[in-house]
Amino acid sequence: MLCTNCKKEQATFFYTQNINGKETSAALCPNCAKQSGIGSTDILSPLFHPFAAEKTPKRDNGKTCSLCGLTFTDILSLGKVGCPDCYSTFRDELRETIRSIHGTAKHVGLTPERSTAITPEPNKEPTEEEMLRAALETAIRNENYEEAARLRDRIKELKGEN
Amino acid sequence: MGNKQDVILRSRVRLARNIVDYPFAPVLNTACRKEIIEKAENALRTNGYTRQNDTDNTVAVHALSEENLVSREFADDKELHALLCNADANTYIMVCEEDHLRIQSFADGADLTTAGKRAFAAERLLNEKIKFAFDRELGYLTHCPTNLGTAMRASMMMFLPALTMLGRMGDLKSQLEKIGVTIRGLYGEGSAADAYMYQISNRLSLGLSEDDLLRKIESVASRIAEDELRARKSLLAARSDALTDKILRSLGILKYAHMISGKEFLDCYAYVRLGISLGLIDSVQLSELDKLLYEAMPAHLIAKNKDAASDATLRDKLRAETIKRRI
Repeated sequence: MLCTNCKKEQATFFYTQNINGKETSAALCPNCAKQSGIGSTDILSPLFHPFAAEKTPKRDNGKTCSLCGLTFTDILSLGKVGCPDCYSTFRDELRETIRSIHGTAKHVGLTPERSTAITPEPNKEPTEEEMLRAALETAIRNENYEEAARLRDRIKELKGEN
Repeated sequence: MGNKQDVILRSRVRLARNIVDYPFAPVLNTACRKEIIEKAENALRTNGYTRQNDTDNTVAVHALSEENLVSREFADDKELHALLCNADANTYIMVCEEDHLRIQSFADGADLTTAGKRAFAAERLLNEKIKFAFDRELGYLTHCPTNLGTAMRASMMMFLPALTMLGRMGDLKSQLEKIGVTIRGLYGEGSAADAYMYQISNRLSLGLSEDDLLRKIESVASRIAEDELRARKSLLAARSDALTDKILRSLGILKYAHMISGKEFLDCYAYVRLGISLGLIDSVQLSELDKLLYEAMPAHLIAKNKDAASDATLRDKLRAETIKRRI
């Protein structure tokens, strides 16, 4: 199919948007997709791709997001999702990627039902041990075991000092 | 030698929120953009917020981006979008940026607590009227998965000339990376650290509560500020004639130049600012000097005289005049 915008190149990006029953569709070539802003946000693609190759050999299974119409393949090529519903439609496919970005896939904090006041303790200085422990968690998460071992030793030393 | 307030110029908290049943802004059509803007206006209008009419005026909106009050992407966006601002002008809400709503609140100096309180006050008003896209597991849902969770960025603008001159920024950057904190140039990702100004902020937003993120950035910034002040002592102890000369020449240029480019201004501004904190300059007020960080930027100058848009010489002359009036 030819791109519906330039009508010259082969379309590789198919997009359907359904808002309150009003449906609009587009089939774009990579250039037009990029120009329209759809394909220009692929900075995260490298983060998605390793996961995609490993976990989703038959990743689409015909599944599309009912709100924005994207498939998981579309999300992989964009590097970003199309709408909030994509996160529930492709929950299993996205979980590992989200974990690899944040080191966790579990929200801690405010919810819409409990938008409480923010009251940080003023200027509480973390101890050296707290800083080292935070660095240790990151090192383990990044599988940097050499660094992790060094940090663990330093924490032990600190405890010894006290 | 200066104090922490002189090292940390400004605190900012940014929250991203999206509305259920709408796709994210990059693929949002004009009709949906209108609806979202209306929803945001309805939630905030009776609470002292007004819609800024400047978003179609590229010069005015770029002036706001020079002050980091709106993002560069927002200023450049050609699609329908809107900006809402509170009466105290410390909270700005970008509507239809990358996310549907991006709340940005500011506080002077090292005060993330106040910036956070302001941002969450606005968030609560919106939350009363608007159903946000939220997931028990992933938190607030955002266009980019890197912002999931609290969808919060807490950042502090820091002046770090001594650490930069002593070649310590590379080490600092990699240390911060290990604890999930990003440091970058004043004007955002990919920009050079103009005038030795940096922004530090949390890199990740999922898995730590809002309070914890605010405290983390506040304490990290406080430690960096202490390091910077120690580094300034070393600089002063070295009593480098070359540095003193550079500082005083910079003051001379700011005071007497007939024309000055943006780059030369930032360079001189940074040395004069350092000179004040080292006690080498006492004839210039820090608060007056800092106003120039925005007033001497191109969009601010063009806002005063539109001919400066196409005339670099005029712009450089206007910049020199603006500086002279301040110091």
